[in-house]
Amino acid sequence: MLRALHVFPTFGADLVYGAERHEYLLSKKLVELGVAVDVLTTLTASYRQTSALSNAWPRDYRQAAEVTDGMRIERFASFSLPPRIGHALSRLMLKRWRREELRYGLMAAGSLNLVDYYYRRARERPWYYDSMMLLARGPYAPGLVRRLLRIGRDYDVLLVGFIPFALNWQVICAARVLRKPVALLALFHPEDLYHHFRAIYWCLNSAGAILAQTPFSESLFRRMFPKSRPVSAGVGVDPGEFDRSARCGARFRQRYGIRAGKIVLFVGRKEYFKRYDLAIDALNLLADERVGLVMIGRDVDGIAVDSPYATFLGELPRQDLLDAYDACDLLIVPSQSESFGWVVLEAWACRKPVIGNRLCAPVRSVIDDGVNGFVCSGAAEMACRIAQLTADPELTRRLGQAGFEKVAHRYTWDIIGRNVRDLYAQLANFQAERGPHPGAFPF
Amino acid sequence: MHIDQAPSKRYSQYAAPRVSVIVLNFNGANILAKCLDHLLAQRYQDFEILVIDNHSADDSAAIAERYLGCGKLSVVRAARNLGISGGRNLGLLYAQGRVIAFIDNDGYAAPDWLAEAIARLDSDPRIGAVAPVVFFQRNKAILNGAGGVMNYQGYGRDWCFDTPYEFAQLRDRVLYPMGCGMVIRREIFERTGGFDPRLVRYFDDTELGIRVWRAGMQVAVAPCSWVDHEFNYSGNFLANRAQLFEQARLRVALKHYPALRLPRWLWREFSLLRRLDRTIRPIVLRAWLWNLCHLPSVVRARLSFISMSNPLWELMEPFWGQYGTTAPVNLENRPDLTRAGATLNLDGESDMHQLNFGWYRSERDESTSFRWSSTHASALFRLRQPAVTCTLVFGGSSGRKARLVIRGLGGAQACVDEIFEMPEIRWASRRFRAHLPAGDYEVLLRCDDDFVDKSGRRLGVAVSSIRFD
Repeated sequence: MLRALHVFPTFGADLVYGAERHEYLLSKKLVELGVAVDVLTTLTASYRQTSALSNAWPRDYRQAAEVTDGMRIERFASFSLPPRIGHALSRLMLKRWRREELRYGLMAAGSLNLVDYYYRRARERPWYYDSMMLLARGPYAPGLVRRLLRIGRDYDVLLVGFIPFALNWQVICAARVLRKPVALLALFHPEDLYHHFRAIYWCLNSAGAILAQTPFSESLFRRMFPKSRPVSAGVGVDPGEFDRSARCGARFRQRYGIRAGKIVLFVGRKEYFKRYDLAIDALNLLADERVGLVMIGRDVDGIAVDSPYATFLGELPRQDLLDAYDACDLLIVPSQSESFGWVVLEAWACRKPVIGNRLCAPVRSVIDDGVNGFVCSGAAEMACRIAQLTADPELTRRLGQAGFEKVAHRYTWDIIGRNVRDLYAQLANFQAERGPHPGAFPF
Repeated sequence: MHIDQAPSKRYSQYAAPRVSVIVLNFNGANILAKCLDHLLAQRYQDFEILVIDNHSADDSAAIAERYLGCGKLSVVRAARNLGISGGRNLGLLYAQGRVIAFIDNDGYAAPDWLAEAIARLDSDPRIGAVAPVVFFQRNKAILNGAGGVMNYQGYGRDWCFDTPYEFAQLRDRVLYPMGCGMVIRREIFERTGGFDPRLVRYFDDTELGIRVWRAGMQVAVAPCSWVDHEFNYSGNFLANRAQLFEQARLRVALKHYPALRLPRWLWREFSLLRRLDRTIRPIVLRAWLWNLCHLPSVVRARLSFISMSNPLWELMEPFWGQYGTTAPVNLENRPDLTRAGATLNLDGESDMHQLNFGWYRSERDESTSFRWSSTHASALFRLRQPAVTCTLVFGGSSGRKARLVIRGLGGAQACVDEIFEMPEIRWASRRFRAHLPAGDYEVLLRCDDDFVDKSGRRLGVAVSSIRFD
């Protein structure tokens, strides 16, 4: 029986955001597939950004150890930088970025060479900025590392997640000491400047394998990090969760008083990178009272939504989200920085078509334009596609069905879990045959 | 899934394209969209576009960003104006292609521009750079240039500048490609470095061309690779153009002239300086001072090129001094058929919209206003009714012969082709029979036995008017 030790900055059945949910569902599926999974994590349920670069890691969970869904979860306290120091480090970093912009110019988001641009900047940045970033990001949980070093030898494979946190390099270094293979659940956002540091590149190059979310990410890793071993693992959904009997659109409309005949759904944190403003602009351009935008997700930026066509509902319970998928006519994903875009799969699992942002390469690589949704550039094109889909129920049904079939064939947790289990087996054998992944320690 | 498999074929969206087109933009809100539209309509498709915004004050960068959705484009905003060379160097940082093409925001590439240039580049491995044929946007019958040459003094000249395409004698090899539309192998930059950032404007392309030759490669002209150029669009934003020009000329000479030729060049420069106009002399002196201040970088550059051959002297036009300015200034003409009619009076004002090329400035002979034609001169007419005759009122030196050709606009077939002789009297009128239906026509005057006047002008026929009846 394969034994895997998963190490994540946050972990819990009750966490709803993409990354945390991903690691939880993947771990759970692996247990179902016969892998013995134990988890080391922090006491934090939700880290809080204290400045551009630094995070606070509050102690949300009380218990130190628990068993959930067949996984033994051990939690450790992690320390956070005092906000003042975090602010100071962020200021230094922002100053450095401004200097880089003076030298290299500022490449517009959505540019073809944006990733190379960030990569060049990161490569030529002095190493102490990486140390600053790692220090500010956290988490640092000495107890967790000690425990890892103590029990790590009992496992065949380690899995660590996710970028851009400091746990990655700690676990990869520990794996070197333990001579154990380590896989990295990267969740790398290639279009995000905050993910471009040499220390992060070191992790990507040094892990025994990288679980890449999309074929795009896989090829990107291969190109940018020739020493890395990316594997297109993907992201999954559980079809049972999205069964028709488990969701009710009418209930959602009634509970939240949604009157619009057609619903365009946005699911994600309300923050700049998610570009919800594009969705609002698209609805404003459409200016059709029968079509309304419903936004679900945590309000990060705190900016009021000022549009007669948009309704912001904030964070909702999972069941209500499922009902919202059922109620909507289509999902809009205007985000410009994603590692995958999980909500795309969830919408497809509910047979709903998706409109994505062409400037976000991972999303662009998941949606087949005109087959199971549309990829658009800018609000005007999104408005046109919304009009087209809301006016043509047959097209909406056809695209939604195509999306459902894609999910059923490629993106269920069952498929993803099997892939990862096979990968673990390979890693374990590979390690036994060839020894640990060669490479130096980061510092 | 295999964790140690060989790298897969590059994902199509991130496979490096063969060509990187670097578009340098400064305050081009009026023209940039047109430039990008022309690029995106290229027949050759394996390319990426890098728009380098040189710290524009207008919203041209935002205009470029609207094109990001096409998936071929990157937009880089420079934090300050880096000049032409600095801006292009910034583009080179991010260019992925093995071939680098440069076009300015005021260059509108023909659909075959890139395909023809690449075909030319591929035709001979010795070709390091390709010069396109650049036309004036305002008068597309006239060449802005097809590559360029340089004389011993260090003055550069776009080859066939202000010459009608029909009569242009293109060269196969030139010293340098014009910056707007040039296509270069990446290895040239890898071997000789990027553009000289001290050449803020002017001679950046000349210096690049010299480096191509010094790297043992050649600069070839691609006769079917065309670009329309909104001549001098960005030059209008600069106040000290004359000084920048002189600075760059001196720097290029100091960097690249063979050491044995430098003493003679310096002597010629000294002689030129003495002959210069009082208004120009301080500008040249300042340019010299600037170059003296930057002498260490010149020495460094000379040392870096020391191992390379230097065929520059053999490639230059063998004369000293400045280029003459005795050719007709076709740039002043504004041919516009919507304002053209059946009559053309060459009075210097009403004729601007019908003159195509080859006319000197308007002159007066007592009460008659006229223009001298050059060896070839063309004017456009729009006949709203059929015409039977064409009347030419002209003068010239007695006994010389000229030829009048009338042809439909855009056609090569002549409707009228007659040789006539210059009159003995000062002004003569000659009527040619021309049965022409309504339409647009071009009247072409050719004078093979032209004569050169005291100021060096090559004169053909003095024409006062042309009229269709």
